[in-house]
Amino acid sequence: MRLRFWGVRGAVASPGPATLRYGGNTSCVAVESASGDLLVLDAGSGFCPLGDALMKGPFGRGEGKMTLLLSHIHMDHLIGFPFAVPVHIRGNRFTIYGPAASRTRLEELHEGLVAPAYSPVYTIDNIGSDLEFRRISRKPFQVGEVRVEAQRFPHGVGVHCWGFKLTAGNRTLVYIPDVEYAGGSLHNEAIEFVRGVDLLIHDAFFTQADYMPYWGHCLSRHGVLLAEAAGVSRLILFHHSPDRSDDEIDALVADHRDELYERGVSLRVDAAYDGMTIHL
Amino acid sequence: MQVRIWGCRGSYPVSGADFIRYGGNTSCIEVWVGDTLIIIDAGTGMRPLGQHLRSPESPQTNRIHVLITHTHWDHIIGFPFFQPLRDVHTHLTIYGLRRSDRPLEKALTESLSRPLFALPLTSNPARIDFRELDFYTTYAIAPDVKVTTARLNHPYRAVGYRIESPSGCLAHITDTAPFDRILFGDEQVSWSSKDRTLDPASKAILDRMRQGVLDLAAHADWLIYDTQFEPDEYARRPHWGHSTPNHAIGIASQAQARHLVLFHHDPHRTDQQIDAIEGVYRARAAEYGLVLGAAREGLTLKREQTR
Repeated sequence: MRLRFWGVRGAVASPGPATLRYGGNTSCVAVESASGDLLVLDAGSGFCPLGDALMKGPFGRGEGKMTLLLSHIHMDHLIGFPFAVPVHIRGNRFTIYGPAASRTRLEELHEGLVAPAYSPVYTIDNIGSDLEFRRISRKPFQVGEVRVEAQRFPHGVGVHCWGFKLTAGNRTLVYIPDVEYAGGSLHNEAIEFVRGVDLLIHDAFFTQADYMPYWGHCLSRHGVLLAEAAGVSRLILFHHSPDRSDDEIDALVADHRDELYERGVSLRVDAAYDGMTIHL
Repeated sequence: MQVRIWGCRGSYPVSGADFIRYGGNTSCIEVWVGDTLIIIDAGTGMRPLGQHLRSPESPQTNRIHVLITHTHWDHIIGFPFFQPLRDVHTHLTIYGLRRSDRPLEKALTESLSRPLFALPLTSNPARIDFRELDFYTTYAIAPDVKVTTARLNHPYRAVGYRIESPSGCLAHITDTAPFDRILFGDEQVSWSSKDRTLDPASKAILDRMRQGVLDLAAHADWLIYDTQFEPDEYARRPHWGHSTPNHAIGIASQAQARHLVLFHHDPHRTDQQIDAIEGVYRARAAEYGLVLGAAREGLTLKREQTR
């Protein structure tokens, strides 16, 4: 699988000189399998530049096909969708898996997103491409050669975020963008879900210094602890706070690396940035 | 009066090396008239503005007036991340269009709430009042601060504002299409509409709208104007509800505004492209004795002396 990060922020886009290197777009990661299946994890503001890039290929001719996996329905994971160019091109096909009580409810949510008060699109019936909405469940499903498994994680009071595990051939990655582990401790369920995967993309919104309980996010340290406990080989810190500057992210990563080195743990830690590409 | 731009991007925020100098945040403008703070629109630029307002470099006030032009996402999405909302001493009044189909309060609190956001806007400690405005009306919102409204030509309608005080006058005209080809209202304008002949009633409404905008801009110190499009883009997308710098110069020169600020940059427009646009249209504006510049984050406009 080939991954590219198009948006790595949480909460709200935070462009500017202080966030230039890691980027200011909100959550969006594109995953392409060796045989060309395209899966996209979330549709934050990074979904728009992804859309522009896709226009150079089949999506520009109305022949594109994408499976969009929505981890949850907060705006920082949705806002890019109605604005992305390929979405408005007739012939393109989007299969959208989202968390909702029903498929209809997910469709209604997107209808509300483009309602006249909020968008010049007015209704999803004006969206030129084919949209097919599906409800996420724990039941694994296949997108081409990629197997998708999903698991729910706590994300603040009464809210859940789906984590996704993608497997192609003998390679596996897990994406957990927003999570606050209850009581600040990892669940055995989480450890089981990510056990032995090649790559873990994990929420790193807070540090000890700025942690706000019940906001639905963990500390970057929790991702490290989870990766270590589950024997993951590589961790990508993701969903950075909009207030975290490039220099602060550099320092955060350096601290984690130093700490792991001192303890003799062989876990590779990096922070996601807009444009980061990984061949898995 | 002092005006500072915190977000000048249209449609959606953009990030990256191409957008550093003009900035990638969506609409948000800070206006100080003496001790009175007025914010125009609540795009993503509102988050850094909120941080600034809580810093020692900023004048301090708990009383904040927020003028909303319309509730499209790029003009409201930053609101939940505005730090002064977390302060129990903050008192916000949010102004926006009175609509028969939906109260302003509902339009804002239902969207900036669950399920799309973690917390409902109104669950913040700050006190929030809503005040609905009519078109073509002047309101005294604070001593020596008058706000006048006019209708703009945009899908689902938008409000143009004139903020007037003895220390300066700002006209804020975004989002709007020009007032000649298509009339936007609450209903959607068909996407296939190209050059259509306008019926006399629609023409009359557009003429009234244009006059209203001229009145807002009349002799203004600064005219901030929606110039999302270049002429070729406008020709392809007249139904999107945005203008070009030519349209802005037409209004600015006729209204005898002093300084035209190109605003609501297309999300694809790079710093280099905005430089070029500014160069071309600055020369054109100079023919009318008009000062022209492109909005960028951090741009501060100030007139010290009173007239």
